[in-house]
Amino acid sequence: MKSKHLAGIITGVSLGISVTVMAIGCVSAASDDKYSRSKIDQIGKLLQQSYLREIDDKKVENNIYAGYVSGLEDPITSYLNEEQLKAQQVLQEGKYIGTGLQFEWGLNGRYIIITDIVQSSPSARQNIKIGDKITEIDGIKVMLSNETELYEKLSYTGDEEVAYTFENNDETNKREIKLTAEVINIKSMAHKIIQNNIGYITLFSIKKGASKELEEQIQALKASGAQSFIVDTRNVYSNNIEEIYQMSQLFINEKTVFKVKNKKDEVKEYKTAKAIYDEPTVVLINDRTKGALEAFAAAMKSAKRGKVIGVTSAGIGRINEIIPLEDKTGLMVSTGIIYTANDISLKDAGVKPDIEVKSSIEGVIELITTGRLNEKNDLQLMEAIKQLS
Amino acid sequence: MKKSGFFRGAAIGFLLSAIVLLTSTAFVDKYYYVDKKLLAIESVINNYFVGDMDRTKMQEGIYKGFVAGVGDIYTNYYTSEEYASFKEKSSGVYAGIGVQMTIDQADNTILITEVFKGSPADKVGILSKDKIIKAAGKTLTGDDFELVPKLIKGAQGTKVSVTIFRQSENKMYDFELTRQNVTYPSVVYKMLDEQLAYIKISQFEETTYDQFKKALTEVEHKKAKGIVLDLRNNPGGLLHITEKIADELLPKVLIVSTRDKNGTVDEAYADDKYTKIPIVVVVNGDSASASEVLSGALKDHNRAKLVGETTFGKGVVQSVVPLSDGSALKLTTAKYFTPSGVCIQGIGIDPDYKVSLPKELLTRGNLQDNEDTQLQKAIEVVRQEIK
Repeated sequence: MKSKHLAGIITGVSLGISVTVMAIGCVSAASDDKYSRSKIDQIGKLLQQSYLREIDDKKVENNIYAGYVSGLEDPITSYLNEEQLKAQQVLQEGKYIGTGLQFEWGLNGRYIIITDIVQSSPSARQNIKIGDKITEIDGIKVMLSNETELYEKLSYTGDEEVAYTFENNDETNKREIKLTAEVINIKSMAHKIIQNNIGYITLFSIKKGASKELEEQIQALKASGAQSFIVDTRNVYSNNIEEIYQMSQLFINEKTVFKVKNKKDEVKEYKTAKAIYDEPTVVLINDRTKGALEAFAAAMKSAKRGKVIGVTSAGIGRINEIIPLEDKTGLMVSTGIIYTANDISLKDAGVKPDIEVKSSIEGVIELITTGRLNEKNDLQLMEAIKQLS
Repeated sequence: MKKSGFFRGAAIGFLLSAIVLLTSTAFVDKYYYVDKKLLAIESVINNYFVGDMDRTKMQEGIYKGFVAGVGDIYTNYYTSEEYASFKEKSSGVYAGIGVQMTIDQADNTILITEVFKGSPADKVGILSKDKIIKAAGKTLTGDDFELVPKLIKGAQGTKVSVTIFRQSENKMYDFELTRQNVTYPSVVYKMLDEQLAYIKISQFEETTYDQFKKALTEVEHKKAKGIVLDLRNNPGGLLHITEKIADELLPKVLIVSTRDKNGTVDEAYADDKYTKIPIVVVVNGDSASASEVLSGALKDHNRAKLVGETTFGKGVVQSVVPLSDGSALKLTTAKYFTPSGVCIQGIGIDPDYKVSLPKELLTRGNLQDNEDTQLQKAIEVVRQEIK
């Protein structure tokens, strides 16, 4: 029995060694053309010898993957480390991890100004209002030279608290407020009546159920006397093609609204049935209208259902998917290209508005010095109202 | 039973050896996991990504990502092409036609803002305010702004065709220009009045010291009693050039010291020859790096007052190291300290007199001197110094 065991062990070991060596060989053979090990060694040594600060070896090595994927030069396709993957997955559910502060860089990068505070968020529970300024975060002065560190603090999703130094818009009442990130619900949209009979809907995010919510808001506006609508899609990024299709269905009657082509060149055509609303409607877009959402404006335009007003959208009309890897990291990958009903690709070119209206510099300055934009200075909105009056 | 003994032994042997081999391989070959993960990523891209893979770009991406992993925006990997472009930029010399351009927002065209004296453009009669309609056969709009230098620059002695539109005459002109080495003027100067000179340095390149020396000699010749030195929007440049310029303005004192990773300190001193003309320096939030070295030295030694806004706050120095295959690594290698021993990284240098440009004027370029509130304050301060 012992000798049988031994014979078995010897056979097993030989088999084990050969199979493993072959497997390792396969891995390195297949990787041979991806990069030069000697070059990475050379760079690594140089950094160790001369780079001024401490080097986190793990972070450097992990960034290889981010660099590799960024070589695709695709604006959306990227590597997601563990923290980023988690954050993306939370976003898919229509939530995000943060403090609830919406902000813009201030004049000359001297401060960060609060432009909105998300309801029921950590910052909503503090003495913070729109127009307040942040001058320091965790001891880091708000200056453009600290942009990277500041952005890291502002987008931090971990559970340590971050100390913000706030002051009022007029630079009084300097105070320190500690905030910890939480999972927050993203507001989908807001609605109101303007000029007595125009229903104005502002979109903030498009999560599952957004089209239903849009329908409810339109009903509410109609009940309040709305006879026409403005759908504001400015500054919104959305990947949710199915909801956007349902949104188009609300307005566009029996037309092809857009098409999606995948890697295999297979085309899926999105066609609407009978529309629900036929009131005059205009759509607002700007260069921050991004992703599948650009298809909505394109659809309204190609179906001649309503004028599109603003400036050309971002030009990132793709479908993206999150693909997890084995080790809790993942990739965000562009898996489909969106085409308009007229077969124009939205992959790299944005939707051109029917009426081009640029935002005024005065409007931008107003936003970054007060945190708000007065509707009268919102030239794109003013044009939309003009079109419907 | 005999058979099961064999197979059990085989199974144990197989497992044990595989585990030992794998872990020792991974231990010795740190790239094993990296390679394995890159394969997994490549597989996902092949299966899902709806675009094309450029393997060269992806390889470059690996080096870029690796270097960017230290988390410093000033530490980057340059491809050979990027390195060549970087060298050209720091030299201050390139082969082109000798014009400065901007986008005319009013009609989305390329507008010439400056024609360098003696340049190919100057010689054929191209004027400032001409619009470039076509270059190297391509019709251009403001959207092509990034592309235009690539079309116009080229090897010394080669030709390029350019079509311009002159608004004042409502006429188009076609030109065939021969590219020459053009020195980018990083220093401009003028007399503001009989007593006051104005010198603006826009960047610190290889040719900047010579240009500065020329300007300084000229204003001394014109018997200037005071100088306004404008460093606004100057993003920095070469440290050794900055030290040479500082040397012209300071007596035998410390200009700047640097300290590297190993604690090695390097000090740069001015010699005892310098101009004694009173100076006031104008700075803003975009005065960075070498501009801060110069203004910091002048401020700390009470050689000049600073007017304007707190400077950018770049207090670190980079070195560029070429790699064996033509690519290069730019990395932060040292901190620098002003003469009073302060490292201004993330802090900036505060001006002695705080003046911001009025909000309304921020939207307009090309301010007139009398609208430039920072310049006007500097003039007021230097006049006081002269008394």
